[in-house]
Amino acid sequence: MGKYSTTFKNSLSVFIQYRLNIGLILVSHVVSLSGLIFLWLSVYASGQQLQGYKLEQILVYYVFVALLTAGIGDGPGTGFDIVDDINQGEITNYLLKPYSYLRYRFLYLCGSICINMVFVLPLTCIGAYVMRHAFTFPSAMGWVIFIITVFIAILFEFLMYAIASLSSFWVTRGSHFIYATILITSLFDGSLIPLDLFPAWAYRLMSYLPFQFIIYTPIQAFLGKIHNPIPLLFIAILWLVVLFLILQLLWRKGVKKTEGVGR
Amino acid sequence: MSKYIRLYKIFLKVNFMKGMAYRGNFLFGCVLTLFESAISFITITVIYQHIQTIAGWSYYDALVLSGIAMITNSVGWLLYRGGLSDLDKIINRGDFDWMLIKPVDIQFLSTINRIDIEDTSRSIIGLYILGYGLHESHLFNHLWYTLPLFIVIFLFGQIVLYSVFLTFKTITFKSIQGWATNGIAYRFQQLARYPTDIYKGIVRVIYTYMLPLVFVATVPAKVLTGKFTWQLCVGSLVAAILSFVISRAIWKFAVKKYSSASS
Repeated sequence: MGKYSTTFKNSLSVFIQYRLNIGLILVSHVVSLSGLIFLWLSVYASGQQLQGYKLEQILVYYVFVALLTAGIGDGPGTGFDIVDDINQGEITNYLLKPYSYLRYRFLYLCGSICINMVFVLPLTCIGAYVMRHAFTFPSAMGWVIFIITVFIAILFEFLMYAIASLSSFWVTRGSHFIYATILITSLFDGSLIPLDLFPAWAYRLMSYLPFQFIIYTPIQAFLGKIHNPIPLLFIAILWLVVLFLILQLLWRKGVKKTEGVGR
Repeated sequence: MSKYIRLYKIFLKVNFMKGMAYRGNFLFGCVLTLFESAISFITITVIYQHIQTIAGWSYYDALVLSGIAMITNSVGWLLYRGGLSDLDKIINRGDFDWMLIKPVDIQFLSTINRIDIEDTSRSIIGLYILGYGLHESHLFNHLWYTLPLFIVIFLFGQIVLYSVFLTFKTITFKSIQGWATNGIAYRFQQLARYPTDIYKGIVRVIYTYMLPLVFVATVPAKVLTGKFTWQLCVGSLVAAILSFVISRAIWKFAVKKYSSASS
């Protein structure tokens, strides 16, 4: 286990080294958030309202979209790193060592999430303090469900992008599969608009898909809209098992196919 | 000038040949950018199922705006987005030193170094929803006088956007690992999808005078929808000239201070 804790520490060092980038990424999320906040302020100021969302709820929704994306949304980065390792043959170095590459990548992602949180959490606390009178915070149970759903979101983030990146074993530009995952996820995870605003048939379909667990479900937990988490957790665990099995299968087939010529 | 046009044509041809070397990947890339634009269309449609207007912009006005934002994105990838996105990699690999010794303006060379032709497919949906929005608003009859003005204002918007991107990317000279600046540029461009009329107070001042987002898509859309004023058109011209001059000065200063990164 020691070797994996070293991976985690290395990941922390790398991300601290490039802290300017983390700062810049946070700025980019603030830029993005500013547009959405003003958009919805403008809509509600004109007397219109989204079904099921008060102004403060929709604002909190998009603030959390930004926080979750900035905090735990490093899945695409992990995916691109795996694509590079496979394309450039670096993967061979890992295969020769008594070391699980996928576990290494997961811990590397966890390291980046920890560093992101160092930047994101103070902003969250300031935001929570500012909005303390305008918004009802979750109950103790609500917090527990929220934290569990965030951990589940991290697992989905890793599994989806790792699966997409393993396409590099078979195609020249596996990065296209990462982009495809980013696009599909952005539509179905609730980061563009809350999923319950879609037509009822689409929302019903999306509630059986795994993408909702990355953004939509944690925010719904925070907003206190999840009253019975058991069916949701059941769907999440089922998808986690399916995705884990797909990842293992693709990894085994990919490694069998790979050739470490010149390494 | 003719030398630079000829060079651009050569780079376009080479990038097209590079794309065609892997036709499947090229087509997949086209499909992905098409899908990305389709997601924007779906998002706007779903939002407008719950509200009537956003800051005075109806659904069809929003389609015109969004269509222009998509075309802006396509043109950006054909002219400067790819090259500027790769600037940090070019500096890191030491290729920038190699480019400095070429008998061509280094800003021009860095800008057109990579041209993503597959991104033009974004304009297919962009043109469709632009045309649909104009048709449903009965604005086709006015195109004989709005279209020429629109083309001019659109080009001013491109100059503004290019200047902002270039200014962001000069951070790379300082931080070397400045890949996160791409995120800021991407999210800044994403903001162009929203009408800048939603902004109030200091943010409105910033997006009008400091980072003149208003001229990227909102003013061109206002020209096509007949909501423009001549002050806005003159403002576009002034913003284009000023932003280009300032970004050029910042670029020159950054290049002057640059010391080799790796070679």
